[in-house]
Amino acid sequence: MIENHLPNTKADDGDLDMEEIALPAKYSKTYGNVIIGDRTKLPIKEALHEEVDTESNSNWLKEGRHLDMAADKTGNNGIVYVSATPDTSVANNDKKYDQTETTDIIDKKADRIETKDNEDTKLYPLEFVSSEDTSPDRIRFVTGLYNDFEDLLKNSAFRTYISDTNDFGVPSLMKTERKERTDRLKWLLTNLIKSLKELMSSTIKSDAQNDSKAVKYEELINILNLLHATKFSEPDESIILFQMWVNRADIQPDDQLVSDMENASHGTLYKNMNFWSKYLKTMIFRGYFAQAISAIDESGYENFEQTDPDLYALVKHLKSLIASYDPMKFSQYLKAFMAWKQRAANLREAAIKLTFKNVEIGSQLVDIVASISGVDSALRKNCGRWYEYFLLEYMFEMPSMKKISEYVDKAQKSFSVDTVYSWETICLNIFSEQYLKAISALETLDRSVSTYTAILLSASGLLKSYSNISLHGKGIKSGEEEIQTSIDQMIEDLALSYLSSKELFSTGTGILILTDDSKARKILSEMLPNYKIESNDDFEWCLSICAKLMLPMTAKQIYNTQGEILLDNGYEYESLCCFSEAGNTKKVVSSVWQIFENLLLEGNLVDTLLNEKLDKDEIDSPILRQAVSPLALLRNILSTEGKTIPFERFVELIQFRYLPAHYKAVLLLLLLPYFNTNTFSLDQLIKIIEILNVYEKQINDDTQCAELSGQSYDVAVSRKDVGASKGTYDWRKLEKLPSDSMALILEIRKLIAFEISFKFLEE
Amino acid sequence: MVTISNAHEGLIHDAVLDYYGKRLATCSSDKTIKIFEVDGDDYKLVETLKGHEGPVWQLSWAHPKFGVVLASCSYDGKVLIWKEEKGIWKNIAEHSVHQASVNSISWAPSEYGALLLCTSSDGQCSVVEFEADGNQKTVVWRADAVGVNAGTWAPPQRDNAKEKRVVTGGCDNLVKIWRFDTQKNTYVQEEELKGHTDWVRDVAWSQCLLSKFYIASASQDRTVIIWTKDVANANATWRKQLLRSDKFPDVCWRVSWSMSGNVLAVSGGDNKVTLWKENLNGDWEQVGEVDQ
Repeated sequence: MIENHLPNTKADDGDLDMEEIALPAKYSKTYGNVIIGDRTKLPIKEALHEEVDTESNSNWLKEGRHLDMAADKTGNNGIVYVSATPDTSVANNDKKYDQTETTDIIDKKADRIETKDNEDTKLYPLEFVSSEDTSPDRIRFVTGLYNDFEDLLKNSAFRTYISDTNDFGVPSLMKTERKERTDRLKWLLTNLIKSLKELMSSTIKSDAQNDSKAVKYEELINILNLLHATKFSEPDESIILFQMWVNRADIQPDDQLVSDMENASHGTLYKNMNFWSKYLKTMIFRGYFAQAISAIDESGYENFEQTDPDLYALVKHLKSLIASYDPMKFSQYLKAFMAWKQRAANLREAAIKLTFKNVEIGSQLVDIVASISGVDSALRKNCGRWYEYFLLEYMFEMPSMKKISEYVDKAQKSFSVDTVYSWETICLNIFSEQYLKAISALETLDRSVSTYTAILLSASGLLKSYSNISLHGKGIKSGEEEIQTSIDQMIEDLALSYLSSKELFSTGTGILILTDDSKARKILSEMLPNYKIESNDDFEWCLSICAKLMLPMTAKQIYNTQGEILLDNGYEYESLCCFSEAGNTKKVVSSVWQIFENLLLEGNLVDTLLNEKLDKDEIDSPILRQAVSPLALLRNILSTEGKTIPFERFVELIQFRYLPAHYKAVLLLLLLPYFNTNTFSLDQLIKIIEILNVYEKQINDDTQCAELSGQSYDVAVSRKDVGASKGTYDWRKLEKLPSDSMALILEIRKLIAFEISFKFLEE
Repeated sequence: MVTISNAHEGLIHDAVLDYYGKRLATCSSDKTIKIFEVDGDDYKLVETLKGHEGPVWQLSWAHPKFGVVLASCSYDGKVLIWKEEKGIWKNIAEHSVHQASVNSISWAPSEYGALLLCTSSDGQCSVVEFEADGNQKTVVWRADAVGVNAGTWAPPQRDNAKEKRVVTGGCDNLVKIWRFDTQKNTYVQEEELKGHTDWVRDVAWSQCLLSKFYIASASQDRTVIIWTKDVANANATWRKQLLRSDKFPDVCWRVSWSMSGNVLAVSGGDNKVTLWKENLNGDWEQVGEVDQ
């Protein structure tokens, strides 16, 4: 039984969260539920509905029918549907758009394009680019990245982050500053890897059924681990980081082998051939030296001392040799490694001369010794993958960064590269310092990670090698300039993609503002008015951005848009404030008249806040104050209960020069219940006659006024039963009402005549 | 994937989501427009708008600052403007200057006001301005001898926000850029982009504010051309680049840019919608495909 020394790649990798989590079935041949196109080798999304038979499908095509799409206004989405173009739909090409065609002909042609079956009229959503994952974990990840990289993004500091330290100055200070900046970049990369591991863990926990995201994150971690090992490592870290890279990418030994070893009886493993030929080999070749020694100690190999002394001696020496392998020291000091390698070579020479009773075990041990002493054929024989071969060469041939390309070449010649998953190819790009290729390929996996990786590469000066190459062969800009432009473009693209997600909008905005203030102004002046404001906080945030970037026109646009939305939702006061803030006097006035009309027809104001503001006289904006004055008057008139009507106010309102005349009919209705109740004085009755005269003239002179008056009157009368009824003097309670506005005028004239006659009689 | 079945009694010609993705409008050969309310994966039919006398080709939502406003164009030569107020849809305006089918409509960037570009088979384009007081101002100009199939607006330039441009594609196989001349009070041709050998079926001007202008044109000659021009350089000329070096398997009908990331969607007669993106080397790569 083996205990406590089994290699747990994730734990060794410093990722404790991974201990309980099974890795996704990444080598499944089905690639999740994605279909890969034969020609393009790209994932194909299928519109999920019953398959259409090919014959009818080809008929469709002959008739010009095809799968069409329409993009939405702001985001990355659209709709897909089966359609046909105008000419193929309606007419043949020769007679297309005959201007003399009658509606009849149009109808007949339209009939011809009736659908054959329901499949033709289905709609399917389309994603232009994969929507940003807006799960809380992903948002946390993206926000964290933004916070980490804020310094580098600010004023595009990443462009010259390292080269800035090359200026003249005190050498020791320059060195310190450069070291600080390099350390900062290393920290950023390790933190990016750590965050990805956390994201992957939480993704697997929250969505165990769908492993596609986890596979993608795993690939990203593999790539970044290699970048860490090759370009962002400390001098003493390289061997360990390469081990971590391989061990994370391809976990060994496999579960079955580990299980077999675990289940074996304690102290009997020395007799198990698989222990020596597979388990021990894997442990040593993957750099798990401490675990390998522990396994040997628990295997019971001491039994060989009596039965097979040469084998026993070889095991002891091998144990001692691997115990003395110091990856940190050897990464930094090649002389120390060469001394160790000399010991390994000596042991190999000695082992060849030994005679074993357990020949097969002895042969396996000789093979291990030959491998770790750097014998190329032995190394190759003990690998299954190109990256394993690379690791063995690096660990046992010579752990020198200068030899990397040689090792990679040898590895590629000996083993094929798996192209199903992109990480292997991208890693080869990193090895060959083809960083642009790597960034492009990374982008297909994750736009956020690729962009921040590009920023890191640029900040660390790794893209300087492109400085003399003109990428597009246009010769106008230097290669470095072109790359910087491309990275700027990536950052802008990333920010734009964030802007299409409400949850990430503020992060996208932050990136734009940090990198290029003027560009941010351009983009945000376009995008902010489309931001869906769901709360006061959202609204204030949008306005604060407008203030920060000095975008008064955008702020006005936001106020106008928000005003429309609030008005549509019944928030009349807030909407008026928005229009007022936007300086949109026309809209303020037209909205107030709309509210006025509703109040006139319905009898009460729905918006309690507007009521409250009018009651407390708390409207400060001069535009708004002036605009709502007729509304306040009407409300005041309507709210008066009892036997009298505030006649002066009524007159003030109905004679208001800007009052649309067609409201007068309904206003006059308000007077009806007060006739024959001794409410009006003679002067007041004369005033009403004057009002009627003016109104009658308006109706006679202006047909639109007459028409609208009729319409408002009809609507008011038809809705009298649903309107509010406050008391005895509500016109809605009258049993009989005049048939139209002209009849109303006539009726009021009659009532006035009656009242005046009555008053004369009384006198 | 969500689908909406039996949306219309005829073929669908356009399906557009509003700015907030809350309303979907579709139009069809059955002469109607349908409005759906969208709530997550739920699509609820809330209104069927009738008013056109022929198949309805295209729809366009106005910017929310103008309220909930939708424009539609039809084979009957008319453009109708619809507005929703308190849940009730009304036809608020009609634009009928064209003598033949109106093939495309496009609202201008909201900074310009409520301006609608219409292209027609009568060979003319029109831009109609809907003023707040209900009046309309119309500019009509001849753009093509045979017919104009598509048109759209250029994104506004912050440095010269008043300068309005549109791009059209027509039966003369050309892509044309038009600039509004304030003195002549009409749109004058600024560029004539030659490259297609058959009718231009659709044009799309990327609204992404990038370092270059991007126009995509789809043609019956089975090609899509990307036309680019540096924004910063006033003397720059339009460069032509085929989206793919070989021809598409069938006619290219429609092109559309995404707002973010500058992804181009192309629909073709081969019953596929393909997605394309420019890589760091300036080449266009296919990044996805939707198949029938």
